[in-house]
Amino acid sequence: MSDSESSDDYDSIAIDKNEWSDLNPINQDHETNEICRIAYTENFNDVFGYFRAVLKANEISERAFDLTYKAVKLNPANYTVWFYRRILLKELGKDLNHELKLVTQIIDQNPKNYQVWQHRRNVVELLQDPSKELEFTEKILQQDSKNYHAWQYRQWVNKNFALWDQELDFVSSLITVDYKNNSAWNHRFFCLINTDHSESVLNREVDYCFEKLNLNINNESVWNYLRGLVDLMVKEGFGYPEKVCQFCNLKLESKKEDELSPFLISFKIDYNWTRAIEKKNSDANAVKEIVQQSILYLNLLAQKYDTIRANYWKYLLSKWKQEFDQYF
Amino acid sequence: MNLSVHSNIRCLKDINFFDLMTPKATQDLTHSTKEQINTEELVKNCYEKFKKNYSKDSELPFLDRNFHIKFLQRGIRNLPSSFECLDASQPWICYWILHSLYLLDADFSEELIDEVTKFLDTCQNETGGFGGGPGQISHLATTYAAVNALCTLNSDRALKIIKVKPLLSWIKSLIMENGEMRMHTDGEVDVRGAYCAISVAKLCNLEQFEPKLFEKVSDWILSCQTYEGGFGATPFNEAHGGYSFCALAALKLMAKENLCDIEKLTYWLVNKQMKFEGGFQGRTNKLVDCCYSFWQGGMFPIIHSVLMSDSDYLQENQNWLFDSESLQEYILICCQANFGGIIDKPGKNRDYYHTCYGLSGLSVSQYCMDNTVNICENDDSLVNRTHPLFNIGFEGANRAINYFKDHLIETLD
Repeated sequence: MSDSESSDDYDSIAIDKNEWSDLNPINQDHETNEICRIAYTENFNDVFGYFRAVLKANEISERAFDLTYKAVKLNPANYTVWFYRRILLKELGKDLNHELKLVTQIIDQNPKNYQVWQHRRNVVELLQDPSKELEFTEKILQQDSKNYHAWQYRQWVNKNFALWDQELDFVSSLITVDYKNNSAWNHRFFCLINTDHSESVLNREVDYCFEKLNLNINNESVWNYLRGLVDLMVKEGFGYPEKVCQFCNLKLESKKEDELSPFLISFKIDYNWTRAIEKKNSDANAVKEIVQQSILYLNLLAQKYDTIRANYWKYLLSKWKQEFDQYF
Repeated sequence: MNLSVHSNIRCLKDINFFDLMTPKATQDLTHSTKEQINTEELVKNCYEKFKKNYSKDSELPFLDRNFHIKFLQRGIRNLPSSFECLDASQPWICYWILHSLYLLDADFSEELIDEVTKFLDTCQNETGGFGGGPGQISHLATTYAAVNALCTLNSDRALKIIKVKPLLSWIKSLIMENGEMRMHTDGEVDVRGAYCAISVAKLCNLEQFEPKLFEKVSDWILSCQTYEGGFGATPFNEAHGGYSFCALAALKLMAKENLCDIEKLTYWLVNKQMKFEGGFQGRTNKLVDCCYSFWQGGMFPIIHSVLMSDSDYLQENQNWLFDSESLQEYILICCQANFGGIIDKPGKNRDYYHTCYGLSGLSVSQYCMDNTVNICENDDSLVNRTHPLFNIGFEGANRAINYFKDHLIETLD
């Protein structure tokens, strides 16, 4: 029993067998079965023995409901118990707000468990009340700013209840605290797509990236986000943002070792590919220059700046050769 | 042909190897950076310890098969009470252990085959699928694990117990209108469901009954690819190694892998290999973890098969697009626990999950088409090959596929 659980009166998880004298528990067969025999503690064995019996008998009762609580406290990953508890919640007409309080507590203790988040979703869906949800996920993210379940759940709340107003500020504050929080950057993109992504907003977002890149040029989260922005701008018909080319060229010309991020270099190579394809049949000189620069960069990456990805950079070199053979 | 080039181990041959570590600049004190620096320190200790040990024993590194096998064999029968948290994942425990033993070329006795088969049958439900233990409702993940475990036993008597028609109807019930899949009745939706279902469907030939079973699922999977290039659990969720593997493998099994943006996926994926540690991270700016040796590493064979068709270079150069040797360094030098088992990263405890996926990732890194890559002196450190889509042995996979094709008439009853 961990310390966090001892505050939860142990007695409330222990089963009173007198209450269950009318039912035969269904125990795991450790006699004829010799595989995967977990040395269950006595209370665990009892609780789940009676739970299996309750499930089989399809018993709908208060004692069954209380039993499911004991069971999920002992093993919150037992999805069958949660499944059956939801049936009981409905059949017994239980107070869903009380259930929300309970699941809040249990998520707090088990924030990386799938079942508890799904249970919360089911309860909130029935309640149709998202009023506590953003605050709750924020609290969990304060403990672990990258908790995948929390972000996934928050996205569901945003979309399902159309709650977007707080999001950009929320995400910005997390990025200010840690500009390498990729979950926050991902969430930012999600918000953008689902709200205003007009040209002026996207331009503002590009400036936001520059601001963060000026703090640390070697931050993959920002480069990936910038790639996403640029793709979106092209897709929406706003055209490739010139200031991004300018920013990259400025950084590339700097020649200071700590300004040369592999992400910057590969970003430029990617940009070069699009340009070279565009001009392939119209401007041979321009293409030649672009190809030479790209080869130079790819070799630098493979041999010096990003050697662990040498196989990949060499593969890209082969693609360039394949496409622009005449310029080699 | 053994191409082991022993002296290629970075910490031995490269005097500037430790320069690859993140610079401890005083401006960048973000939580992410601090965590990364702390992890690198622990990994550095492993590589330095290895250098010292190597100077006394040039047979290092090596895969400690005997200790791993002992660790695994203990777990298949009896587990301590600390495993109560895995009481709803018993088929997983079977699969992790059996697949690891298969990779280590350990034999399964006829008794073990019968016992595991009998046990997994008690996890099977009449209405189709397998639960996390006897008396538990069916779940796609435990069904995937149970089927994989049964296939790993490489015996018709194991395959025979799978109730194919109920399995099909249960899986169908989990496919929603828009192609998303729930993990169990009224359970959570995410891309693992699609992978688990499609994997099982392929092994058990479920599509003989219903060829268009997963028609809507592929489009939903495609919608999970993010701006980063990897796939998230559901649309717009952060790109993540585990979910990306599930998405790509599921698409490949449906022959629809070319419908996603493979170039973008590849760019995201190659950047998930940590340049100092050698292992893979699961998400951008997060920490290395040995299990991603498979989830991330395992995507490369699939990607290779796509990109190869348009690339003489890839057809001629038989190396995956990641650094296989550096991955092997991380697994073998940093992640083998003292008395058997594989760990997430230095400082963590061993478990069957990391043992399974560490060894599976090792397998992917050792075999690239006709080429073998081995940083160890001895072929003894080579594990068996794993099927990159199902992550079981090829023999087990092929046996199952043939069994359920041949037994078409019988399974109809």
